[in-house]
Amino acid sequence: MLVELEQEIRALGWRGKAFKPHKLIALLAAIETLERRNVPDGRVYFNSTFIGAFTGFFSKYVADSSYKCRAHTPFFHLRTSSFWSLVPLAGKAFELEGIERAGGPGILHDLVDHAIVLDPLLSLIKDPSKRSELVQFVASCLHEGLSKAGEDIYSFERLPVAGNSSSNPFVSYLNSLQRSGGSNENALAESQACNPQFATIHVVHPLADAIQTELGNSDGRHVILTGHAGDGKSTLALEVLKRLRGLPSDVPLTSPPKTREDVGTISIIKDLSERDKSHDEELFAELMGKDRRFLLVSNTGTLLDLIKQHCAQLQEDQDILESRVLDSISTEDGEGVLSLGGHDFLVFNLARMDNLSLAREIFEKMLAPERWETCSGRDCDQTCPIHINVSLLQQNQDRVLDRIFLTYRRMYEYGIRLTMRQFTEHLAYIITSGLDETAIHTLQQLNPRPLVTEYLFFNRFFGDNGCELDLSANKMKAVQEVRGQSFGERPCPGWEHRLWLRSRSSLSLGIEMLDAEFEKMRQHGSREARFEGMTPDQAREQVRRMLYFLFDFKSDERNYLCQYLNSPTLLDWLSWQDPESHLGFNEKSILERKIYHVLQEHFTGVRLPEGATQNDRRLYVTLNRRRSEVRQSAQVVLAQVDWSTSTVLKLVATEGATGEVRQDLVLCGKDRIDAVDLVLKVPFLDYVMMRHFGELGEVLEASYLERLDRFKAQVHSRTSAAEEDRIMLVRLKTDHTFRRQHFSVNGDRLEVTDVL
Amino acid sequence: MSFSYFPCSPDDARSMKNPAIQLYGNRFFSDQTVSELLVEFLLVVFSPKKFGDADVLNTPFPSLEHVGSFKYAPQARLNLKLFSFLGASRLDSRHHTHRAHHEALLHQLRERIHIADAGNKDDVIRTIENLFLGFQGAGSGRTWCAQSFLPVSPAFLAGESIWNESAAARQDLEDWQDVLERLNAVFSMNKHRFLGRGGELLYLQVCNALRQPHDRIVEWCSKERLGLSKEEQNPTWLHVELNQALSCLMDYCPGTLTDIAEFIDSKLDPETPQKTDEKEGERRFVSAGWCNSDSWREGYLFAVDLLRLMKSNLDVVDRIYLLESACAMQALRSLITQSVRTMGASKGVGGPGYRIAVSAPEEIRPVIRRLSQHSAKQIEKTIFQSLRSEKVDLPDEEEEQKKDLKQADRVYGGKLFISLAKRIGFMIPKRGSGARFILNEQLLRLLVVTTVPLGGRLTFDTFKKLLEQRYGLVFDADGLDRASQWLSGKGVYLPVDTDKWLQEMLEAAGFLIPLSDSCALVHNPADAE
Repeated sequence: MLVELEQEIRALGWRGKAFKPHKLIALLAAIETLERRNVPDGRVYFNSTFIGAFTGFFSKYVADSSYKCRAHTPFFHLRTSSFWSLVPLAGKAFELEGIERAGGPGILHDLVDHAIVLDPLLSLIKDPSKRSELVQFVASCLHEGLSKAGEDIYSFERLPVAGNSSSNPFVSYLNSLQRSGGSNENALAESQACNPQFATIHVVHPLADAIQTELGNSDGRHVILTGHAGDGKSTLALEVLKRLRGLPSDVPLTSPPKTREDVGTISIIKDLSERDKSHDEELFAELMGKDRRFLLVSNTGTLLDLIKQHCAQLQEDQDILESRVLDSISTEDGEGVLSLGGHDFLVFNLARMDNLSLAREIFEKMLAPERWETCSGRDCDQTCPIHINVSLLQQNQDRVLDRIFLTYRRMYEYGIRLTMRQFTEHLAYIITSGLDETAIHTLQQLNPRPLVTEYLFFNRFFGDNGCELDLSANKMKAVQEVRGQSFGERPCPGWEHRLWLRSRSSLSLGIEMLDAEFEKMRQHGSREARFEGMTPDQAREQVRRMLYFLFDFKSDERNYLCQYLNSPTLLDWLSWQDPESHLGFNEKSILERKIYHVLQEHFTGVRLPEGATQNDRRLYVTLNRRRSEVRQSAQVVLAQVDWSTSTVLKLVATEGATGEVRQDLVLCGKDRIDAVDLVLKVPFLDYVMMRHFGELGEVLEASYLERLDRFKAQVHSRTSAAEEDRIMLVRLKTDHTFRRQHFSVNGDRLEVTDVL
Repeated sequence: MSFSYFPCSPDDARSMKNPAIQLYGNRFFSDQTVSELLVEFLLVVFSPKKFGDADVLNTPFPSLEHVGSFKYAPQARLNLKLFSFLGASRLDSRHHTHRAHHEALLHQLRERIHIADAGNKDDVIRTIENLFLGFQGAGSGRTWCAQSFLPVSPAFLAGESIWNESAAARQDLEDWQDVLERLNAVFSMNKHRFLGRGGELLYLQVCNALRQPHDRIVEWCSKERLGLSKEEQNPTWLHVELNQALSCLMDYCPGTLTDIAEFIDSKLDPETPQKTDEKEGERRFVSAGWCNSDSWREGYLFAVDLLRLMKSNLDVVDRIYLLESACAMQALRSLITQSVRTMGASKGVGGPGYRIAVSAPEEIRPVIRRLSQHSAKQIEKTIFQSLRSEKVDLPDEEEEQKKDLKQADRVYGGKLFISLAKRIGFMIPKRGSGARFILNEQLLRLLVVTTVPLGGRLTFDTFKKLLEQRYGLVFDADGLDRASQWLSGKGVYLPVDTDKWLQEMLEAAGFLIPLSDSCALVHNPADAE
């Protein structure tokens, strides 16, 4: 055999250190195909014979499931060798020339007639003795390649072997906040009350002052505290109790609080559902009297039952009472007033309040260096997965916390609100992975030992170790919700290019502790090199997670975060939270144009191409059916407003019961639609942006459609043209602009005027 | 005769042979589409009407001092339908006289169009044609005259007209004039095939309910805990409010649209409406059906539903679609409630006397699916049995009896219930066995708008309770247990999160706000205007 040909065949499949067996197998399949036809004219067709032969050899030689059995790829790419030429179908030569890769077999069927094996290889195939020699040589190259490729499997960093280990009681406390470990006794406020560790993560609720003041005021009202289980009602009541007793908030109680605690003229009922129902009449009389002030902690059902059972004394209908209670606890800011029998109750519903800043404070306390001082300098501090994780979190605390709470914010804005208990257990799990000293010791005895990244927060945030779901963590509501969001599933093309293109210089994460692992995963993910311990898909996902949580993005690179969170406008919303922020002229006009476009589509039920409505700035409310099966090319205008003069985009600040201010973008009506406002929350703005990017598949959630319909009905009722003696009809023209005409009936005539 | 009827005892012996008509009134009919139920209801509401020999009345629901046979005067609106629908009707259904008259109408219109600036009259005609075609309602596969409009304007309400193709073929028709001269031979306007009297029956149910004494309504509401406000429990107040709300229903549509429709129908060719709508110079009145007097309960609930729908801040077309669904749900409620009443089957069940076990659209739990299927079967069975009850007069002759009952089962009874429920998406699958009850977004919206009182809020539990009391709908473990008791006399234990799907569906649609522990609030975002 010719030396050049031997070298060329030996090099088939190798790219740097990576080996792929497909070309060699395709060569074997081609030789067999030609041999079967017994007419070795060198033509090889991409047909069932070739594919069958390819599949046969593939299953014979390749055991590694990471290689895919795809015959079309080598059939196409062998054209780069000196002995294989693709013959195009008539008239397809130019098109074939322009193709760089075969995405599927369809391309071969569409463009290629056959491949032809050229001399000197063809001469070898024609000669039966040389042919068998050739087959043996190709097979040996294949064996060599596969075995060498197997040799080059590297390993990710594994947990180091421990020295003398010792425990940190704070870890046990954090584990007791989670349901994953089975010892979650500290998830309840009652047990926290007497636990000295509680003070280490306790954050004073901003409502404590307001409640204390209200109860202490001689003209003050009773206070009702309601919310979801785990929202912190009992903890807040405990805080108020300590204050009334003059105890510092970081001192634990000697015994858990009783169902009713009386301090002077103030009574705290820490859970109305635990009360002795036989004392209901007395309790109600006390509530209706003037001698005592009450702090009632209750869920809504119990509160409603108590109030409704006294409807006769209150001289009110049960249904009306129910409606009034619901009114008072469903206010947007979580603070309401309920009047019963001439007495006012101040109602705080924690379930309606934004608790993200509180959760962040708690997480900061969990990571405070003094909690982890015990671990520093110990033999085990370099080998303990929890300490490695905590060090990573502490070293990058601001950025990591920003990103973690950006994720929570995305969920909150989309209507997924977690309670404080759900936050604390999730955050505690992010730190400890539910591990304790014994579990860590067991892990370190394993062979092979687990990867270091398995216990790092960027994986545990999702309730998995980067490869497998932690079933006990999956019971947490927070983990279930996070996983339900499909974060990171929307690819960010620019970044994907940067991460996986092998010819590019490598990208550094910029985190010393993780740079090496990041690079390994990047190489594994791009199949540049092979590492054991996870599949390339899993490596890619972890690279994206690391990037999201840890990379320092420049201001023009932050679209990665938006894309990862599947929310193009969340960062804008965040920037609006700065009290000094205001909308720039350009930003405002771009937003206005896009919002107008979406509203116009919704109000007319017609899909309008981007840019179609640039000149006409009137917003039409038409009589349309919004049903795709009915074509309404001409529509009656029920109402119209001049978008430029009747609406304005503003950032409007609202203050919650806790004093926290949030700014939202609001489309404010002016002139005829004065005070007809539409609050543009993040989900709607995201929808607007995605429509702008041409994502027609995006569907606005039903609750927001309902809000738009309400806005439409309000605009219609304010600007209705029903009283006029003419109507305007709009018809969508082929240039995507509306043709507008006025029609009126005047005696026996139908008068028509073009509206310019 | 075991039943009494409103507005008078029927003298139509032929109709009264039908056991379903005896039971429910004249009549719910399977060929009537959901859309046409509403069209017919609104046609009666917006047409001049009279009870017995009393004066002609123009209010939606007239004063109910007089009773007697009920008549109303619908308009045929042949010109408007021809103008709007001929171009979209089947080619083989276009008679040459229709095409010629269509041409004549277009010519007339072209003559009467005055364009202020230089413009194209054909373009204007095309715009108007497109406009009216956009309001095409039911019957798109039928001849142009048998189709109906979406009832957004009073000018779009038209009585049923059917072109008798065979009769027309026998006549030697040269032009539209010939058609008008032989109008009764070539057009049928009293067959009630598409406008099958279901809308008339709903209308009469409301009239019957509104004439009930105040005390009776209050007593019934308090016994059944229906959640109606004090005002809503007053039939006089409800009557006034309904009249006002229905009068305003079409006001949302610009008057000029009505003017243009009237212009096309009666100005371009005044002779056709004259021939179709008048008789000896007077408006042509047609006799309506009757309803079972016992139906005042469901009629009253329907009246309240209508008022709440009318008072909600809804889009014009959305309101029409919700009204369509409300009419269909009322037809279903009427069928089952009257059957249960006739059979006396409600003893011990409470509420409406039956239970509809509603399952999640994607329900996979066999127990719940089976319960829902079973309740559908039981309802069909109750209707079947009620048609054969001793209160119904059946022909003595066995063959005739069998034939009448078979016909009643197929088009007026159980099969009607099932097919109507499937049409509005209340039951799936549309074909095949194992039909069960579900809710879709449209029905959910209807239930919220009609159940949550105006300006009020309900807890999720109260919302479910009211749906059970008013419609017999059950969703949660307790409700399904009651349904099981009704079906088999045995209870069923189901997990507490059985109704989670309903909560999620309500939340996704923006109707539910989770408030605190296991308590959520249901509200109507399109609350009072």
